[in-house]
Amino acid sequence: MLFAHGYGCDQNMWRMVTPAFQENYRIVLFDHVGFGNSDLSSFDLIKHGTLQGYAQDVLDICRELELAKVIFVGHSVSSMIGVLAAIEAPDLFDKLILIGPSPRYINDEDYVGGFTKADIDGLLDFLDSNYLGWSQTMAPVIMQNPDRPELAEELANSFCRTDPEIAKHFAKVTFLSDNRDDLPKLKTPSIILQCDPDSIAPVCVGEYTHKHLTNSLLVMLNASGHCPHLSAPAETISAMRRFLEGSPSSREER
Amino acid sequence: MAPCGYMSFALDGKIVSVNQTFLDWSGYLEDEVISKLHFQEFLTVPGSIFCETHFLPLLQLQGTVKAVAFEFLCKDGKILPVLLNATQRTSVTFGAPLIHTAIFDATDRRTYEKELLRARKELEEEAAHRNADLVREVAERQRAEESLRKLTAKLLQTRDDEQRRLARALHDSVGQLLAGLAMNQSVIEVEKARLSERAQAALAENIEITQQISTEIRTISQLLHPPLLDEVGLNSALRWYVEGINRRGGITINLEMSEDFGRLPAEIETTIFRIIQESLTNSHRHGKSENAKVNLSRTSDFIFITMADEGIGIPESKLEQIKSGSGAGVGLRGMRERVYQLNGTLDIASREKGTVIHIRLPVSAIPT
Repeated sequence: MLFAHGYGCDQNMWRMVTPAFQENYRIVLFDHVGFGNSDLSSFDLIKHGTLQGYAQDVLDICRELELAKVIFVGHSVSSMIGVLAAIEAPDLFDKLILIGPSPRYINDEDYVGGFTKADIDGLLDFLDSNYLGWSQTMAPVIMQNPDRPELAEELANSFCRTDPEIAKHFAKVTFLSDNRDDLPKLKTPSIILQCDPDSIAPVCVGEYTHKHLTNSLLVMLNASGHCPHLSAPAETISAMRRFLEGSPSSREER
Repeated sequence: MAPCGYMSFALDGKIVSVNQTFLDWSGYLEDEVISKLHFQEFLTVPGSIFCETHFLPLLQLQGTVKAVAFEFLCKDGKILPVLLNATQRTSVTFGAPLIHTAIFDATDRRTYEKELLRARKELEEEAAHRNADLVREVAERQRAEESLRKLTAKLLQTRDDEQRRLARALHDSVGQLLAGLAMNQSVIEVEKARLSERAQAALAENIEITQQISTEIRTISQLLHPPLLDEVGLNSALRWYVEGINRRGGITINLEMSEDFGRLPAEIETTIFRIIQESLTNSHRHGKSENAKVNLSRTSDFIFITMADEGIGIPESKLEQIKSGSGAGVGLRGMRERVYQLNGTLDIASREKGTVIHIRLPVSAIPT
């Protein structure tokens, strides 16, 4: 099982889910470039200027580790990254588990993504002014102690560390992406785990994704928010298990 | 009244309790908030994206998050910048996890931060501008240098062409006229017995002057452009040139050049000839050298030219100027440019005991 974290966090976000599967599956965790402990030097502004570039990273991991029959678990934007990877190399993937996927975040004519272009522009400004961005770039200056980076380190969070500039770039790529046309190209069986309400990927987006993704299941969770694997790990685990064991509950499946 | 706002909400965001300070800031009544509004409803759209993607995941992973910046929407539509500390704890009375937050009014701080950001952006823009200016200046300078080089090359080419034309004109027209003059003089000489003694002497002098003119014209024309260069090539032309100098005296030149050096395109042969000519003139005129050595050799990749004299050398200050490419005399600058045009290298080493010039021309630069 290959787990891909979403925008804003790192592989730590899977810590409440992976123990349930490690007995029966090989667990592979990674950080997208710019997040967690990733090697920042592998960031390429052009390659990582599209989600295809991130999908390429996923395929590189599969090939490097010689993974086969991969069960890809993607959260948020990484759901789409997994879809793109599985379209590109269908032989590598067995199943996809998509948590809170969205093929497009911005509203468009008769499509409701949940956001306007202005909202997303506002997000980029917002990131500039925020603590997580500030802490790592600004803390050493504020501490007046650039030769003691550990002081700044203490201010930063131990989880979900990000390179602020790369994170901003990833936010732009994520929230401006439009992968609606890619959905019908996927042949790999998939399941969509949908929270209600989810302000990042609303229910109508989950339904849209399910409708256009051939061979997909849509499962509504009782959890709300965008990270059920953190806020409701037990429910998330059992939905994943039912899908993997091939006995989806008829109540939840649509 | 508490100096900061307090708010507790359930995992789904539903607000369980708030304090009076928060109510005063936000403009809401307690009844309008408790169990009615969600934490996320106080956030702007970017704030709520940040909340779902950063704040809540981090809170669930760490149990606590400090000093996150948000902008709260007040009831009257105003925006309150805040800093927020949050802790997640299971509440015994509530029977489920609750998120407790302490909210600080960050209006002043946000103003400073914005000012800091603006100043940083301004600084970065200015740096970028300066950088762009510098890049432009360098490019302009390079363009100017390049056009100077092109001009120099053109000048040298023009001079070569002009000299070739002049040499030909001298040889063809003046030479022919002189030949006519000599022929007429020999006709007169046959009948010189009929001339007075004075006229005979004048005729003899005329014949001698005509011969001198003829020799002078030939020498000038050959120096302007050795006809041998075009016809039999660099090797013979250099030998002829060196023999001429040696015969005239003043400086003795030893030319080393293998017989099978071969031919090169006319333009290259002219260039090499001119470089050697220029260098030997310098050795003699400025270096006051009595001996000089010229060596030409070629491999499959390069042509090597070495010229060494035993003169007084080039003063160090002058040498520095020459090496930096500034202030060199026309002669050396011309040599350097000719070499540059053929993608070659020119090195000068000079001491009190003489000057050595090494030139290397890549064969690949030579058009075939």
